[in-house]
Amino acid sequence: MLEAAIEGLQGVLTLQSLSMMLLGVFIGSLVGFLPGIGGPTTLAIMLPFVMVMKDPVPVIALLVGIDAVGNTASAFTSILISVPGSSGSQATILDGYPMAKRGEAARALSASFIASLIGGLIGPIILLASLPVLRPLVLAFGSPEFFVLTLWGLAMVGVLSGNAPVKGLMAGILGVLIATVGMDIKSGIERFAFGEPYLWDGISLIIVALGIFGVPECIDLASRKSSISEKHELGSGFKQGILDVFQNMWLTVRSSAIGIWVGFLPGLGSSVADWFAYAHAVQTEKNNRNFGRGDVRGVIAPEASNNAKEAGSYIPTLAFGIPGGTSTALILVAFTAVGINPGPEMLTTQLPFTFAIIWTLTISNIIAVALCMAFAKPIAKCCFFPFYTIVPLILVFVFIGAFAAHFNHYDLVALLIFSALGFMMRRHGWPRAPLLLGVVLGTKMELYLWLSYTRFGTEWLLRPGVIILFTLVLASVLYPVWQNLRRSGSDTAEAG
Amino acid sequence: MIRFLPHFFSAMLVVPSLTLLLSVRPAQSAAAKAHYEGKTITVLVSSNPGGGTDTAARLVARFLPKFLSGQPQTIIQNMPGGGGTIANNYFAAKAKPDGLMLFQDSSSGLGNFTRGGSRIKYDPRKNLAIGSITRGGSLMMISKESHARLTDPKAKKVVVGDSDGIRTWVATMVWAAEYLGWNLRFVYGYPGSQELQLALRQGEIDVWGTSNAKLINDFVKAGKHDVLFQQEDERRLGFPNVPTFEEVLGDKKPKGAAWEGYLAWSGPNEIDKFLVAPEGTPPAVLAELRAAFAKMGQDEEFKKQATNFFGDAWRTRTGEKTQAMIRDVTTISKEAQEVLTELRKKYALPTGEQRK
Repeated sequence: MLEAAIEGLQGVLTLQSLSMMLLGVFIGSLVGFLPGIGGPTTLAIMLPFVMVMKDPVPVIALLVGIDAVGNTASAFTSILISVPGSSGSQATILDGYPMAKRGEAARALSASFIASLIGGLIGPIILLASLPVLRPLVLAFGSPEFFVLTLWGLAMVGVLSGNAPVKGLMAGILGVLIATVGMDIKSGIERFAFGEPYLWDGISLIIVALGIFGVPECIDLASRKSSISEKHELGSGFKQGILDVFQNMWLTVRSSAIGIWVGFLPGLGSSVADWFAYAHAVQTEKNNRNFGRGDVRGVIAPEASNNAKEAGSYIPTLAFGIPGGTSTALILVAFTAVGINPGPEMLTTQLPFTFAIIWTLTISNIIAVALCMAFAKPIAKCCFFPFYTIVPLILVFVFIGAFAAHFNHYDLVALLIFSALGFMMRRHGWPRAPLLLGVVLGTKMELYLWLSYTRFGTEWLLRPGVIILFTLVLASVLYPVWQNLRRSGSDTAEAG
Repeated sequence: MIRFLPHFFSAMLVVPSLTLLLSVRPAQSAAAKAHYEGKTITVLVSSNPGGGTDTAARLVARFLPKFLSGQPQTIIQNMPGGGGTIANNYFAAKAKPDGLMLFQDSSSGLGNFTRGGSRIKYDPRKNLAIGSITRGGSLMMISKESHARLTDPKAKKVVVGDSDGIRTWVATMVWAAEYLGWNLRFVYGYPGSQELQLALRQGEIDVWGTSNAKLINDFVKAGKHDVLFQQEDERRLGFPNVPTFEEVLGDKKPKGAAWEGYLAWSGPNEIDKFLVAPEGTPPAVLAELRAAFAKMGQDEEFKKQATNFFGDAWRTRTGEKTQAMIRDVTTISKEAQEVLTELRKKYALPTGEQRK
């Protein structure tokens, strides 16, 4: 194995591979920075160029480089303008943007990048450590287990609802209903599509996110006639953000582990990791009252997890040749074109390529974070732009991001509808994150419930994995309730 | 303005890799004053990036321009959803007959048309076929643990897994249940072949069909699965010992409408991944596209790449042959349609809403 590791590293450190990796990191960061233009779009554009390359390692360096860093730079827009740069940085908005408004954009950004770096480094290490047990690890999760995982995700609605649990629950249900729009592939039945082909494929998650978060914040800025930041100085927040991550190292490690776990489950998708990590932080951290109001731990947790997730998504790819998501599916196409055979050979005859992937994940994360740190201060200054400059700029980003969903004019109509919904929710104190979580998980929840029931009847409820996961769901729901009861009990005792 | 934005963004993404781009762009021919000079062909694809249809489209997009006068640029536009229905409807409604928008579809699009329903707003017989890439017929894999239960009606049913219950190989299993009495039930709804592959490995499903030779060999080598039979009527290269479905049926093979219904459902697999131009495309443009497709199939680099992706059994078909096959498999008698619908109902597969 050591020989393969060295061979993989040598392959990655050649001039050609390193330049490809640099190019990949640059493109991945640029794409992460631009809302709505996801990693899959970029990889699809790059495919024709890499398919003609002869040497597989530079192809790994370029594509894995693009894929690994997309979630690092996406924190810029999530934190600075409340617009998610990618689907993996949605939860970062919840605390990142309030920090930017409070004049702590630099602190939020540096905490985000260092958390991304640590997540991006822990990911490949765990990927490496799990090589011998990759296959049983992936096989342990069937449809019933995936269903309970989606339930677990939805149980987080409570965590994301703050002081308005009923409104949060209603928003979550609305999100699940939005996720049912479109053609049901199982029955071929249209649901809430009104015969309109645009709606057959459902409503794009990125449009919902841009609408309910991006536009309402623009309206708020314009109506306040102010800049994003209330203070006009970056201060020493940059160093503080780095320190924050080290002070919360255990949270960073746990969030990275959550990211890897979500990544290696091919059924959960790429938009879930940051939400799981965020909810975990709210549930397990002490003094959690500031979450949602600009707590740096609300930035660290999702950003560590979304970078670690990328390494996790290579686990099923390497174990079976099953891509963990659309990005890895496209990377597999390129790998096959240049003669790499994803599947069991990746752990035997093609082990040096596996190591080239692991090295690329590691090195490209370091380069991306250095790049983002270098640009953090100048870009953070956009928080001081007057509203008449920043609002049109954000709106351009938001509309281009939404239009990139399908390149269809109805994308803009959908954006306007969700913008109006987001504005009303914000104005009337309805938590918006549960709605987004409902959209993220609704389709998957329905799918895995259907598969569990049609395959196993009611027997699936007795599967050991399901029972264990159900217990964990209950524990995660009841633990905060128990904590609150205990706290209020001790408060009463103290008062008495 | 808005319609140029995607190009603007594509340009933004590609600019950093300009050097790379220039190095792979085909050289302009001196005699290239022709229909495609300076033009861009959009290849619409009826699936997500990364699958078999998309891979075929990307191969075509890369190699076809080499054989067209003027060597146009190509871009891929993925429009997944509804088993290809969304892209088919879009192509039927929007594609102009100028040879600049082509459509890469798969057998699912033909299967959905044959199944019918009010949401089908296209007729694949009206499109003009440019050519097809066939990867070889599907082979049914079964877990060794469930093999004995196939013919034991008292045992737990053997579970056949699919994504939408419309795949052409599903027809073989329905006809096996009906005419061989195999102890089967069908579970559909898996998002794609990756999830199905995982479900087969986990034992969540017992039977699944795929044409991916490498994958089948991986499964067999691992020792927990057998290959039941192959879908096409000739044994595939590389699988000479696996019987065909017709051989397995033997004298139980039905006749008349029952067999016609089977052929209508299973037949599109032979066409597999096909490229079409819209109705009304000028004959000269169509002829050029068909000729280019035929030449592409003979290109050594194309052959090498196609073998990388599809294994040894792939082959290309001409546009004329593909056109005739599409017409054959989508033209079905009322009786055969009824058999098809009845069997789909009987085995709890989605029927769609039948055309009147």
